[in-house]
Amino acid sequence: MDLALDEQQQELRDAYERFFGRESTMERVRAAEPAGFDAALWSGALDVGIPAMGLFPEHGGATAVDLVLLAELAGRHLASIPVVETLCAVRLLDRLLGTAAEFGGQQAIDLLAEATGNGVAVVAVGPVTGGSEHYVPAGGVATMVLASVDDRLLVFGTLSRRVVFSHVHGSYPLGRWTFDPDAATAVLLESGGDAALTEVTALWHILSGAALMGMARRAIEIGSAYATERRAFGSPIGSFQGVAHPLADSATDVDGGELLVRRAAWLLDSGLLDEAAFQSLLVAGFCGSAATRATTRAVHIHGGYGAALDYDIQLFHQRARARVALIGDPTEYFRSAGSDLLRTRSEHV
Amino acid sequence: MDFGLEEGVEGFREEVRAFMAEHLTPEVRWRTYSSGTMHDWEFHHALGDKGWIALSWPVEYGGGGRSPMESAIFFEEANYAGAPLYGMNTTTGSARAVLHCGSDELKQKVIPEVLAGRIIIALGLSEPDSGSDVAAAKTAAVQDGSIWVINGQKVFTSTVEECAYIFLLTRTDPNVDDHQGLTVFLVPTDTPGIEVTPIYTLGERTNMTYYSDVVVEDKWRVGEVNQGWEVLTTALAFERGGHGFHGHMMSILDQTLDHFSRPEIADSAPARLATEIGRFSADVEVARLLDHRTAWIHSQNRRPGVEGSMAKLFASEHYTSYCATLLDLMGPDGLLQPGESEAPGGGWMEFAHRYATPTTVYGGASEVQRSIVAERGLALPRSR
Repeated sequence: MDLALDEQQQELRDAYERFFGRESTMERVRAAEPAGFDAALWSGALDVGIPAMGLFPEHGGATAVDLVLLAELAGRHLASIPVVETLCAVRLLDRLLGTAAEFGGQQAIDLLAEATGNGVAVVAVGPVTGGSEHYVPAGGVATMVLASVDDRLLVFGTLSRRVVFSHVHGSYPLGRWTFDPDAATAVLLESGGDAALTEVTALWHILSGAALMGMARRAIEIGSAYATERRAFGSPIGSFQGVAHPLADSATDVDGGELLVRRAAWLLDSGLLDEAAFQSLLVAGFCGSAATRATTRAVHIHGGYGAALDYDIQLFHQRARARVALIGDPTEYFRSAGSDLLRTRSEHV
Repeated sequence: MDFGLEEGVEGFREEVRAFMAEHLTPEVRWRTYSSGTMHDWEFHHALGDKGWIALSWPVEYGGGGRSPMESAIFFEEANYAGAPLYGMNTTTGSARAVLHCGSDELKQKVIPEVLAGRIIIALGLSEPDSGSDVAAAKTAAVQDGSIWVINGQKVFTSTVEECAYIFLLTRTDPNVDDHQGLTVFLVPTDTPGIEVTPIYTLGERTNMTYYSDVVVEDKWRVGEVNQGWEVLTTALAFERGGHGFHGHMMSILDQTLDHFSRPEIADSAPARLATEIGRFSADVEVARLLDHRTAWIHSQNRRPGVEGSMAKLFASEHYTSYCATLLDLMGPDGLLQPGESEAPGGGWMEFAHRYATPTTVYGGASEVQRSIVAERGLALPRSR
């Protein structure tokens, strides 16, 4: 076991920390409200090659662990661009490029170029019935949506019917797309995409969990700084256990959640897909509930100011809540993981 | 970044499992359960024969020379199996302090006996009026030439009824700050003036020990006079490493799955049951990772401070809370104790509920751990 970042990972993290620190200040985050999309930041992200990191390492991209480091930072800086969403789409396209007979030639090159270049490619996570409507992560700004419609993997473009919302909690760029198979612009796979979908769904949970842990860690830092500065009854409020201890519990949750996320990513990199997929359910459940607790506590210790829009802490709370809603109810993930465990055990009895 | 275990560690795990299967017999478990003493000589001698008493000590000190991760795996498996380890744990911690702070004579007398598994040592730290606040100890040692006279009282002196020595924290200077003026002695338990009264707890036996004009020669002193806090830190450093506590969690999760995996339940598991199992399985994973992180930090020749507190806090809190949830899920089935032939899982699930209760207290109460995380990890002001 080695939990340290290697030299290359350290460099990668430093570079993206500098990038987001410069280009995703809290002023910029606020300026991007309510759309939740910062076009200048996105163009900067293209310049530093963020979407293309979703490619597999052998194609010039990054490992899942590296993507986790990137997603943690995007969360930490509340980047108003769909980092997690895009990385998943690029990963799925790259996976199919190597495995699907239907997906190749000039069309594949064009789609990948769009996904890593001028376009905003995202994945509609989960199975879709032809003609139905679904919320799509970053569906408000996406130009390309990959979806599994009636077991076929299809590509949808901006000519598809879609609703873009402009008043969304946490300024999340939410959209709802209609997946009419006849409106698809390309077919990636006619059938048999289960493994690819399992992989991209696991990656979605893992990177979302990473972004949540990034947000939660920063929220605890902001809350701790405030608790050190703010005085009540003659002492800094951080010297009261009622204030300090919930923060300590959340700091523990975040350290644990971060390890859970990184290990799940390492499993993906190691090709242990089934185990990674199961762990990704635990990631979605654990990081979802831990991020809600951490950001709620961080807001609470600001007292009444925690609700004031002038204070940055509410930004972390709202964005974490939006992302949890997007991933899905943590309790449902726990139920699903628990059912898997019970079923597996009963088969062995 | 690599989450794989080093070569040989899984092989060692298999060796530990085989050892537990052979030596942690139902008789041993029943014996420790019915006496409440979380120590068993037959089992302890087997550990000694195997060279596993001081598993992680360097070989030149007579230890097993196992890596921090192998040590973590040992405790993970031992706790998973339900091994009685209180005696061993208090012994290796105290012996480590003797090794680093004791005189040569003391070392030569005590360490070989400890390593061979022939003796164990109890901790005499907590007092009726001081638990987590260890440094507030009042038990007095007064020097009179080459001897010391000790008077006072200690509580939770677990396994002392089987011990050759008590690792005793005393106050030798009442006129200075709490952390100064403390001195540690290794007191032979057969010294006149020591009285032991059992305290039966929810799942175990521990003790009150009384010291009335107990005369101890100066050669039994561990470390310098009034330097007891430094001696203690050396011993405690080995109580706060995480220690594979999540092995207990893995065990109760496993027992839960066994109990509820009857097809008629598993095929249509109530949502609440599946949810709690899923939630706990995430907590077990996290506890395991936090614990293994402390082992990894040790392997880098660093000391886990905040990380050790996090591991202990997270594991004991979630274990305790899950055991309570489990009883809710099981209903009256969950009330049947070991010894009841119909008890699910032999009654060990019921026992876990009782066993878990003090785990959020001993080895540093959760409140102490949270303060360490807050102060050292989050740079918050002192909260005690």
